[in-house]
Amino acid sequence: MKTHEPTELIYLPKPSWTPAMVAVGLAALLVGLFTWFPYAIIGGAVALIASRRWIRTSIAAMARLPHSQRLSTAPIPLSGMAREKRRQAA
Amino acid sequence: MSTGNGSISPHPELAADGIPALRPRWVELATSGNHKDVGRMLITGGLSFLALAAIELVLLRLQLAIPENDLIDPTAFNRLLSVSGVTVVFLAVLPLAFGLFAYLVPLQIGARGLAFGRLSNFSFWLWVLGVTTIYTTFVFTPPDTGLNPWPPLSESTFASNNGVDGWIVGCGLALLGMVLMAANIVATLRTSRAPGMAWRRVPLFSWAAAVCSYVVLVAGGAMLAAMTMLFIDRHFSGVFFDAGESGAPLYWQHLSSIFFNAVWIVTLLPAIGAISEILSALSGKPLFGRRPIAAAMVAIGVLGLLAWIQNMFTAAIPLGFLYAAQFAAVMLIVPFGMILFNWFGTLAGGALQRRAPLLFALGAISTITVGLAMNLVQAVIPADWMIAGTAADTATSGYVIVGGAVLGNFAALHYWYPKITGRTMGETMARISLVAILVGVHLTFLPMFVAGLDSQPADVYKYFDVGSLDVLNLISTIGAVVLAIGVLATVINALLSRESGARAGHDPWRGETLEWYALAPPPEHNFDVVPDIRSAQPLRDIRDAVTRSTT
Repeated sequence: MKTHEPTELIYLPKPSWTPAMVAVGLAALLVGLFTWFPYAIIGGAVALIASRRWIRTSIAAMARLPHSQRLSTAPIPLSGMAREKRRQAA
Repeated sequence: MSTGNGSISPHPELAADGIPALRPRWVELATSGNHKDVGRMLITGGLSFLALAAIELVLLRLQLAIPENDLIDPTAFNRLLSVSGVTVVFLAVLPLAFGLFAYLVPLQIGARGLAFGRLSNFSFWLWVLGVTTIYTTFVFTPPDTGLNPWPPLSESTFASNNGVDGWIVGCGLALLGMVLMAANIVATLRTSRAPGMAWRRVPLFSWAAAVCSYVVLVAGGAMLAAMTMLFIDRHFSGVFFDAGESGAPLYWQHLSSIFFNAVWIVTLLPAIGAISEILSALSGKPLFGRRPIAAAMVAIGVLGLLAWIQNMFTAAIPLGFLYAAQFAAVMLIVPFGMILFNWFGTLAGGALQRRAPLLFALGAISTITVGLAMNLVQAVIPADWMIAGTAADTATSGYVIVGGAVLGNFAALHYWYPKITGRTMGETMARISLVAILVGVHLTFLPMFVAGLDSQPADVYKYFDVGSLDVLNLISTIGAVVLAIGVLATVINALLSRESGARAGHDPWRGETLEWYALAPPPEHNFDVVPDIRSAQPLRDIRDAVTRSTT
């Protein structure tokens, strides 16, 4: 049976600075607690804003994609490898 | 054409958030949620800090080369000792193990990536910021309370500077990153296995990843809790570890011992998983017993955690608990014995390819076995009462770390390097490195063990010329230099081989697990199509089927 519908949708998330920004904010928050308190406030704010952005983009991505899908596997012997083997034998 | 699980020929499609913009390579890496990018960055970071730890070991040993030496001043020595311990555990052992897991587990189980791509990027950044915090303290006040800052000495009464705070935040961030990575790997293994990849068919390296991840989830959580409590004690008038205010320093010992036992497990299990795969591939035989090895790894994870009181035999704990811990620690010999038996069964009669991965694996087996024998001695309460806190204690840890984290991970690196880069690592340099590490480890830690039995305390700044301590310490220092040369040789080999290594193809060892089906280096989505998984050796099945179909 032939079909034009993809058997699987492979989602590749776009590179993003938000995880790095959350980590930087969290680190500044913790370091600020024992060095200079304003660092903690700035760090906390950065972590909160970046986390919010991260959550929003993740929710948007989840809404676009299928909730679950069944992966299709290729039968063995795989045609490409068999072709190669036949070519070598010839 | 029929498929493994349906009647439609598989033709997956890539879905992306938009057309990828052209960015510099470093920006791509820093922002990538792809498991291979994150894994490679963690492996590179772990290898770099392993090299740094080797150099720090040489500096520490130079101070101890001769009795009553004044090469390094006492404060600098204590700081170097503290940071070198942190470097080994938090900056080398953990990221190397989890970097290899992040890279290889999705490939081995036929997944498109880790379950949470951006979380893996977040884990990497937490680790980077932990590293930055720890090493930035060198500009201000580095920690000087050892690898494990036990209260009450780490409470603000006795350590009023910010060194301990730097330790808590730096190690805490790095550890949080690894705990999140462990959660990600557990989620991936539970939800993203390819059709047919039942647990009984999951490769042993991925089994090791599963056990290590569960162990780190438990023990890492305990350590993070202890760090938080110590921070509250120091800055917010907490009394968790204050014996005078109904707290107890012993709580720290329990929580940190659970974690350091977990580190011991994370040092050994990736090596065991990798060695199992290597022995099978390079002996041309299926493993003598796959399931016993998987079961043994689970047993090591459970017994290793339960034996945490093994590190506290000298603490004031009721004898019944000590006996229980001794039982768990001694019982560990059973799964290790089972693993060794199966490894030797695999090697026997095999057509051995004497290449670098196999040689490193054999070196790791011999070194780990010596370390475990020493550890078994310390598992017995009266013996530990005599040895605990001496240089023999350090020597035992040294054998396990070099056997597992250095030789085991180097075996894994040589084995999977062709998959990661498409090239093999230089064979001559690998052999030089292996010989140097093997000579170095015995020269460093055997005399250190004997010096410990001769009552030399662990981690001392200075010792006096009593008995044969001067000779033993001098040999140990020479050994540390040789060991460091061996470690640096492999790190340099890995760097140089990226450009100059021989091209390897996608399956240079004729491996049997699924990662060898992917291209080398694998594309972003790993596989265009995943083959049917019908056994624990999918690549062997494919080769057999191709042979049958063409003859």
